[in-house]
Amino acid sequence: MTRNERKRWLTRIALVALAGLIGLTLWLRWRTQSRTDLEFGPAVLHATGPLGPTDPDASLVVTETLHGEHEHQTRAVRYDFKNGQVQPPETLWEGPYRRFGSLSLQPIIENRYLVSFGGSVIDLREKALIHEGAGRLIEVRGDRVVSAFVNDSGKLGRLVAFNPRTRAIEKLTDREAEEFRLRGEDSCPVSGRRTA
Amino acid sequence: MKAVYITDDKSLRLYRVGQPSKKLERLEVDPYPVPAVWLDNERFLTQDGNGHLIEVDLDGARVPVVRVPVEEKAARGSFFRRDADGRIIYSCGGEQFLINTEAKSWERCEWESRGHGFEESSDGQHRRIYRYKRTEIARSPFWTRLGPEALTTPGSIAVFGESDLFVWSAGTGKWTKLSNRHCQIAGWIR
Repeated sequence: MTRNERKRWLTRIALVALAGLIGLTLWLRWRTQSRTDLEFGPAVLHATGPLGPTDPDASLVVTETLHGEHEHQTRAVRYDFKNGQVQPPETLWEGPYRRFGSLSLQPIIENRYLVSFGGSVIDLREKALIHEGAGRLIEVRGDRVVSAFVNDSGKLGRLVAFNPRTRAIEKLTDREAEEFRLRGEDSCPVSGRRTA
Repeated sequence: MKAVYITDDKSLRLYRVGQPSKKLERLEVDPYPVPAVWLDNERFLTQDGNGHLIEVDLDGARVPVVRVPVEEKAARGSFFRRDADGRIIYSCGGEQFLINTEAKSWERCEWESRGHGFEESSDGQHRRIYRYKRTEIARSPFWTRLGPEALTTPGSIAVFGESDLFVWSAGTGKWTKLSNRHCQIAGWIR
């Protein structure tokens, strides 16, 4: 290869590299520029003035996750509202995240018991964790909070039926167990079942 | 106790306690989420292709209910749910419809009931709109969050506005900021 040919090759390579660089810059700019169709509007809270009678007194229960260095904590907090005015918050229970976990879909039962996704139960009146669930909440039916152990492959194992009123573990009949297992498959997000 | 399951070949399969499972029929559906809602103990509402809503009973007999003019015929992941007033909402391709199975009719769902006079809709800026007795009270950006975005009790609603939790009371017409920590709404008690 002569010196001129080498020079032409180097020029071509430089031109291709330059074109690639320009293309990459344009693509990155297109990907990172703001798109109006993806913009979120800000939160807007209207001060409407009273729109109804004075509210009946009620309390809102929330759970907070506190990120610790070694272990996360869960805190259940109650906010009382009197005549629509919030009162100072009260901590109802605080403990390691692993003992209670995340909330279930309909976490408060009988206006008193807070139930987690894992089947654990906090008595909001007694301010105590009264049951640690088996791992996956299957269903709250009647007085029972039913949870199941789950193995590594996601299969349901032994069922545990806890009664928050008596604070006792109750034995399930074979038919009840079969019903709860059917319901348990429904609570598994990949099973795609709809139970009734 | 019974369950409907959609298998990989898009067939409906019925499970009942104490009985062998039963294959019902094949439908044009996506397996997850299962596009079905129980109407009573004997029948459920589902679709055979987007917009073609049918009732199916436990023997697999199907009755056409209504044909909904969905814009995206090929949209995936259509599903049914009930709002706080028990009305059936059919979601397909970003559109929502209220379905009346008795009258075999549909209408576009502009506002979904959240209970106790509160309703929810959405604007064109990825925000939920909340109103109380037809008066708008808030717009809140969509957020991926565990648990509910809003929860009502008579005269009050708790709503996440971005990362903070607020409560609005009808008696005062004002918002109160409660918490800015990582929190989940558990519920209202009395």
